[in-house]
Formats: sequence, C-alpha cells, structure tokens
Amino acid sequence: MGVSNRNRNYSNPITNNTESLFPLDNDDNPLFSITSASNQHNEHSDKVHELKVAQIQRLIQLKYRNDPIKLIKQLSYELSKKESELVLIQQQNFIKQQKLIRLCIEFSNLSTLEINQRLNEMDKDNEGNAVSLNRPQPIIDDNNNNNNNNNDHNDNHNDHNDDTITNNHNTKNVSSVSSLKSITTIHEHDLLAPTLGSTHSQLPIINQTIHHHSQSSPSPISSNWLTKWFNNSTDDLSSSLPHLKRSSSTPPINGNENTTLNSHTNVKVPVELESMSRSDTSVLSESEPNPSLAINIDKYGFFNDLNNITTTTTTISSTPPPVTQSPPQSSDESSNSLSNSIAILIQNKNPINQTINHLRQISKTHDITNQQIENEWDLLIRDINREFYRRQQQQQEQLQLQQFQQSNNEDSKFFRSINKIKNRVIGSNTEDLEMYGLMGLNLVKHDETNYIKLLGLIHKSGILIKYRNQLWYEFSNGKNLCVNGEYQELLNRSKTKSEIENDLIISKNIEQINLDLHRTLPSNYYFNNLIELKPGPNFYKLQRILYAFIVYKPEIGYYQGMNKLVANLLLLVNQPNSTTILLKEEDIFWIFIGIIEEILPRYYNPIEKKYELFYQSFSSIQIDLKIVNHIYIKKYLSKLYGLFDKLNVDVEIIILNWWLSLFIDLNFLDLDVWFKIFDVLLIHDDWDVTPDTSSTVAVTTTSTSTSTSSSIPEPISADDNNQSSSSIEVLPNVIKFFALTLSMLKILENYLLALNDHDLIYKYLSYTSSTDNNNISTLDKFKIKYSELIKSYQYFTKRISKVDVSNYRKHKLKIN
Amino acid sequence: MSFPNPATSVKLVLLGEAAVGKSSLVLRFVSNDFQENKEPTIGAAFLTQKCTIGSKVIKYEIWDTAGQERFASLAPMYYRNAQAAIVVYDVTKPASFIRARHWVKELHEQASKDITIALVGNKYDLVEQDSPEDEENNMRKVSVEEGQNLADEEGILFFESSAKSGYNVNDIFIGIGSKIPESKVASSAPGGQGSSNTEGRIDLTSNAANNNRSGGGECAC
Repeated sequence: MGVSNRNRNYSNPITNNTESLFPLDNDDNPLFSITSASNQHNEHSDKVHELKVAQIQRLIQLKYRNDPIKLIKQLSYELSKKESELVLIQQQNFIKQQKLIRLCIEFSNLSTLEINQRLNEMDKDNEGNAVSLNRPQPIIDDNNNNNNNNNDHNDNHNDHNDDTITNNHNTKNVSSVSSLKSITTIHEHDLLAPTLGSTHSQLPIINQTIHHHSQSSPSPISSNWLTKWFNNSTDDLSSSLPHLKRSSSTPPINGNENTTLNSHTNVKVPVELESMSRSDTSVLSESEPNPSLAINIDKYGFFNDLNNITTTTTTISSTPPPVTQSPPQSSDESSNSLSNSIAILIQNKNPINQTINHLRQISKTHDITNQQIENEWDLLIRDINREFYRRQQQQQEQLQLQQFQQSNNEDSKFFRSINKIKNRVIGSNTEDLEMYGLMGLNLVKHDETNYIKLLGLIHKSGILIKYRNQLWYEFSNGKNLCVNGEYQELLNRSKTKSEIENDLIISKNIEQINLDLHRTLPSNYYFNNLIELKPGPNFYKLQRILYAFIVYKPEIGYYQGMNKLVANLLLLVNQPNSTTILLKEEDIFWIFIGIIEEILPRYYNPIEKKYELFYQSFSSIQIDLKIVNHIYIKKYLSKLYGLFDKLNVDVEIIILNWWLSLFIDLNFLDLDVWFKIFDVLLIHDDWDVTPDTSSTVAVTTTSTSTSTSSSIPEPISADDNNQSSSSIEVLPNVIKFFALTLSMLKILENYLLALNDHDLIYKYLSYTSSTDNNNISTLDKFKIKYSELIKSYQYFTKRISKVDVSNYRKHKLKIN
Repeated sequence: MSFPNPATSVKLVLLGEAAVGKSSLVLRFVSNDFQENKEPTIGAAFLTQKCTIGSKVIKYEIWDTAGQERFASLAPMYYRNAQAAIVVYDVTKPASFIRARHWVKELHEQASKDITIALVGNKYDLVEQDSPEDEENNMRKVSVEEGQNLADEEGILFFESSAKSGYNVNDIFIGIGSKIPESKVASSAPGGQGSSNTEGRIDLTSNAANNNRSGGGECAC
C-alpha cells in the first residue's frame, strides 16, 4: 500500500516535487520514507545534505552498494539534468514570449475589425484540426514536475502525456496571462527606452528583434543579444532557484531558437499583407555597408521606430515615417494596439494556441494565393519572352530573305524601294528591342493576348515586385530614352554650368534641390542614416539625378515633389527581391524622365499650340479639378458632394494636393499600394473604351501606325494631329488621374461621411505627416486596399470619356 | 453671450519662400514640437489650433503652403477667403525677404480686403549669437529695422521668431488674434465663406449651425 501510494506520488506532477532521486526499481527502498518526509524542499541537493550522516551512510550502503562515488555521480547527474531542463524551459519561455510579441505586433498592424474577421474566418477551418506546433518539445522526463516553472509547461499541449494535459488545464489560463504579462513588461521596457539612457545600447536591439519577426541569418549581434537577454531572464528565474544560479547561466542553443523563429516567420509575404512581414527583406542589401548597430527598418528602409534609435550624439526628435506599413510607430499607438491584441487573445478561450493557429492559417492562405500569383506572373513573363524571341527570329529571317532578293536584283529603282522596306524593317526591329515598350504598347501591337493577360494580372495584384524594375523601365519609356553616357554628360554639365558658367537658372534650381535633399525621406535609412548620423547612399543618388534633370530639362527645372518621386523610385533599387534586372542610378534617372514626359498628364496649351508637361500646366489642372468636383463627384459621389458642400470643404484643394504629390504619402495609402497605383499609371489600359471616344484616341488596337510610341502624340506631331481641332485631345493619363481620384474618394466615402467634420476631413485627406497628435493617430488607421481601388478604378474609367472631359474643358466657364 | 465664448474660426494662410520655416512655425504652434529635417510641404497642409486671447477663443484653420516660387500661381486657391496670413522670411536670407515683400503686396491686391497680415522673420535662433560689432561674420542678413519698416509701410504686424527655440511663436498668433476685428471673425466663420463660384450652393442650414457653434449670433443673415 505504501509503495503504491508513493508511486502515485511520483506520477502526480503537482504534489510530487522530487526528481527521481533514486532509480525507480528501488521503490521498496526504506529510504523513501525518509526522503518523502523531507521532500517539502524542492531540490534533491537539499535533501541529501539534510539527512543525518547515518542516514546517508545507510543510503550509500543500501542503494549504492557502499560506493559513495556513485551517489555523487547520481547527484551530479541529477543536477545537470535539472540544469538542462531549466535551460530548455527558459528557452521555451523565451520563444513563447517572442511569438506572442510577434503576434501582438502582427495584430497591431491590422485593424481590430480585420483581426476579428480573420479569426472568424479561421475558426471554421480550424475546428477539430488541432495542429501541433512545431516548437521544440523539451526532453523533460515524464513527470513534468518542476513546480518553479509550472506555467512554462502548458505549451506542451495536446499530444503530450495525459498527466501533462491535466496539469496544463489547471495552469493554462494562469500561465497564458502571466506570459502576456511578461510581454507587457518587455514592452514597457522598450517604451521606457528613450528615457533610460543607460540601457540604450541594449534596448533598441531588443526592439529590433521584436519588430523584426526574424532575421534569416542571425547576426553576431543578435545572438549576442540573445545571450544577454537570456542571461537576464535567467537571473529572474534563478532568484527563485538559488542553487542553480551560477550553473544555469549558459546560453541556450542558439541554433535551435533561430530555426524555430524562422520556421514561424519566414513565410512568403501575402500579396495584400506584404506589410505584415517586413522582416525578411529588412536585412540591408548587398552593397550597402552594414550599420554598426542592429537597426530597425522596414523593407523599404524606413526606420520603424524613430524614437528608439540610438545615435552617437543627439537624440533626434522626428515624426514617425510618413508612409510605413503602419508599424507600431509611436509608443502610444503600439501600446494601445498591444493591449488591443492582448484583449483579443484573452477573449479567446484557448488564447495562445488558437491565435497561433489562426495566424498560421492566415499566413498559409496568403502563402498560397501569393504563390499562385507568382506562378501566374512567372508563366506570363515566360510566354511574353517566348513570343518576343519568336517574333525577333521571324523578322531576322524576313530580313535575310530581302537581302537575298536584293542581291539578286540589280534594278536600281527596285533596289531603292527594297532598301526602303529594309530600313523600315530594321527601324521597327530596333524599336522592337523593347519587349513591352512605352506603357506596354509593343505588346498591344504584337502580342495582344499576352498584353491582355498582363493587364489583367496588373489589375489583379499589381506588378510582382521582382518584375517591377524591368517593367517600369520599359513602360515608363526609360529604356527607350536612355542614351549611353548621356547621364554622365548631364552630370558634368550641371557642374560646369553652376560652377563655371554661373548659369542662373541652374544654380537657382540647385539651391532649391539642396534645400530639399535633407528633407527627403528623412526617416528612411537609405536616405538618412540616423544611426551613423550621415546621409544614406540614396541621398547622393537623389542629388545627382535631380542635378542631371535640371540640365536635361532646364525649361522645366526642379519642382518640389520631384524629390519624393525620385526617392520612391530609388526605393525600387533597394528591393532585394527584384531578380530580373537590377536598376542603376542612371536607369532610375531615365525612368524619372519617362514618367515626367510620358506618364504624368500633359495638357494642351492653346497659346503655345503644343502639349505641355504636368508641371507646366497648373492652370489647366485647376480647370480639371473643377471638372472632377462639379461634374464627376457630383454625378457619381453625390452624397460626398453634398457633404463637402455642407461642411464647406474645398475638395479641389485636396485633390490638387494629391496630384501635386503624385499620390505619394497620403494618409490612406501605403507605400505598397502607391507602387501598384503607378503600375496602373504605367500601363496602357483604355483597352475597352467605348467606341464613341475612339475617334480621338490616337492608338486603338487596330492602329497601323508604324511608330510604337504613338499613344501619346509627340508635342510637335500633336500640332498636326489636332488640325483645327474642335476637340483638344485629352490624354489617357488625365483620365487615369480622374479615375484614381474618384475611386479613392469612392472608397473613402463612407468613412468621410462618418467623420462628418470639416477639420477632420481636411486633415485626413490633405495632411500627410502625423505631427498633430489630436486625431491623426485614429485617422491613420483606414487604408485603401489595392483590390478595392482597382475595382472602382475600372468602374470609373468606363464612365469618364475623353470627349466629355474635352467638352467640359472647353466650356469651363459654364461649370462655374 | 453670458456663457464663455465658444471658438471662432479664423482661416489663416502661411506664405513665404521655401525652407524659411513655415511648416516648422506651425508645428511649434500646433504641437509645440520641432523637427530638424521637416519634409517639404507639397501643395498645402491643413492644421488647426485653438488660441485664447483674453475672453475670446480663436480656432485657427491653418493652410501651410508649399514655398517654392514655382507653385506661387496656386497660392490664390489657398488665400482665397483667408482672414489672416503670415508671411514668413528667413532672417539669414535676404532673398526670402524680397519674396516676402512680394507676398505682402500680392495679398493686399488679391486677398480679402480686411485680411490681417503678419510679417515674420524666422530662424531668430541663428542670429542670437551675433555680435553687433562684427557685422561681416554675422548670420543675420535682414535687420530688424528692415522688417519693421516693411511692416510699417504696409500696415501689418511684425515679429521675429524661432520655431526651433519657440521664441515669439505664440505671440504671432496671439497678435493676429487680437488684431482681427471681432465682427469680421464672426461673419466670416467657415460656413459663411462661400467662395464666389459656389455661392449658389451654400446650404443655409449648415451655415446657421456653424455660426451657432462659433457663437456668432451676428451671422451674415
């Protein structure tokens, strides 16, 4: 009876505190009564020394066959086992904390509504489908009996032995709350960071790992940090385990931890959720020097938490980055969202496991969609390439045939005409070196099916990041414009003009550029290295590109806003994902030129009788704003029109802001969406325009024009094209700007109606940097999704006709 | 009006050359904050801040415009119907003072007749250390007298300020607030500010509501 009782004691993890001090086969050992009596103490090392000498001797005699060494060995074995156990537990605890922090942060990037929605969606899939987490299970002995760390065991769930499960049930809720508590403490620490000067060196690094879900290849710093962090937590624990204090300070097996972290976070970025994982791309790209400290930047290089950047000298007070993927920016915000997510976690019955499962499901779903989209892109690009090379080969054969004919025919007249044909073929051949052409018009001309597919895919997901470089380079006409050596030449000229020739216009522009350089993306690592307090690499690229531009187009010169456009373009270069071609600074320059000359809306100047660039057309733009407002908003967004009227909100001023900033940095647009908007601006898409407009559309599908870049008439040829021109042609990108503007307003309509406040609406729609703490933090939350945007965009492009706009422009006075 | 005066709205526009510190002045006034590398304003930014002057509370609706001269043609959109304007220059940059002179002139010609204008020489912090003897090496390039003279000529307010240190920033807004004629404030509350081309569409009910909110019993009925 006594024996069985003792056995039960052993298997009961709550009451039994003793380690298997003695081999179980010695169950009937009389000494057990003694140890049981003294086992109020937790540690076996306690027990032996508390025994009387005689008892120890008896123990040795009976159990260890008179060999004290064996006892010592046994004890030492026990001790080391305990130690490794503790290490594992701490490690596990740490991993769990990390995961929770990550969850919290991931959730904080979503709105509460989105979270709920996702959780609900996932609930259905998840029921009865207990996914065991591939967290490392500690190789703890069956008894699961470390009462100091009771709460750490509850993540050995489901598939562990029965005893553990019952145990877990008892402690689960308590422990989850306590782990959450520990997270909040960590977070508080991190919030305190700016004020605790002494802990600065360490805290931002912690911060970094918290924000960065993983670092695929852990730097020495981070493992260092792990050690540090681990030691800290060891100290906490060891205060309750005095005996182990010294011996347990060995760090956990880092590899183990890292693999776990990676396995959880190295998921592919979901298309719409790209913002959720900014971690894997955050590692600075190849050529860039590694910063001396581990830093906390997102995939575009924006500092995630400006307040916690340790610099060598002054503290830099600056706002959160204007367009980040809404990372937890200000401390207020992150603590709010943290508590939100905690609240959500607690609401769930089985908080940790379920949320982790949910997140897994979410990321899995997004992985799949993502993968599908990537496959579609890969296939399409392959098809386009194939078709392109096939066509090229055909042309070459044709050419050879003609040469052959030519050599066989000595008739000079015929020879000349053949020569003409030949030249034309060669001409078109060189043009066709571009696979896609300006706005994809080469595809429109030669490869219609693939063009339609491409357009559809862009509307579906935006251009896949890895193809964006290549496609933008062609779509923008940059590739066509690029002349070898010209960029360098322009740079040299900008230098001589400003320094030697004292060219007034150039130096005035340079002055303005210099004023703005330091103020361009000041929260981005590539532009402003806050860690070493020096300009980042892109700073100088931006400078050179703008200098070159003012020499290239002195009649336009530098406009504020160009700096932001070029800066955003330069972010393309820092995208480590782009596998196709890597763009150089020079290429970015030509993309920029292409966008300025071909992509931004251009306006016909009746006095000069030519088309002028966007930046030269402010008065025409103002007329168009009136058309957008009093015709289209009134017609299609009548509620909004009424609201603006009621609150006396001048929406034209707001839209002017959008247009001048080229939609960069708007409160409701993430940078990812901005890139996708430009994907749309860069592709020819008035494919299915209604026939009534086709008369004035320069390029239709049946265009027989030999020129490939004819969708937008060249300034000079425009003159001829427009004859006496009763209707001045409205260029396609004007319609795009109209449609984009209207679709944004359409999506924001309900939100704005709910705001129903003059000031809030102005701030939300026109205010870009979040310096006003009053309302902006809540306003910031609503972001437009690309899929919604494109849906409305398609709706509006079908409803805005060029002829109408042209007529409205002519009758501008009647609008007033 | 026995109850405490509710806020009356004043539309205020900031004008001045690029990088003289317009946005920084506003940021100091609105959030009592300062940023070293403030991004250039594109188009215009909208901010609000309340300001108590004696017994009246004024809510400034501030339009902080882009400074680059090339955008000057857009400025009328912003200063249309403004009751107040701050024209900013940089005391270390003479060119910005010339530009300020132009702005004041333009405002007097184009903006509402009763607009209250303040001329502000910003970046005072840079010239604090200047010694009066050593004029060659001084940072200051526009003297206090020049500023004051221009202000006197044009009959407008004048301040020197520093958004960085906060020096005199609030005083500008208080100064403007106390100079704005009370009746004007009330009658030009935002609801009543129909622009010329929207005159026909003004919703009278909202107009009244606005005026009630802004305590203007004396609305332009």
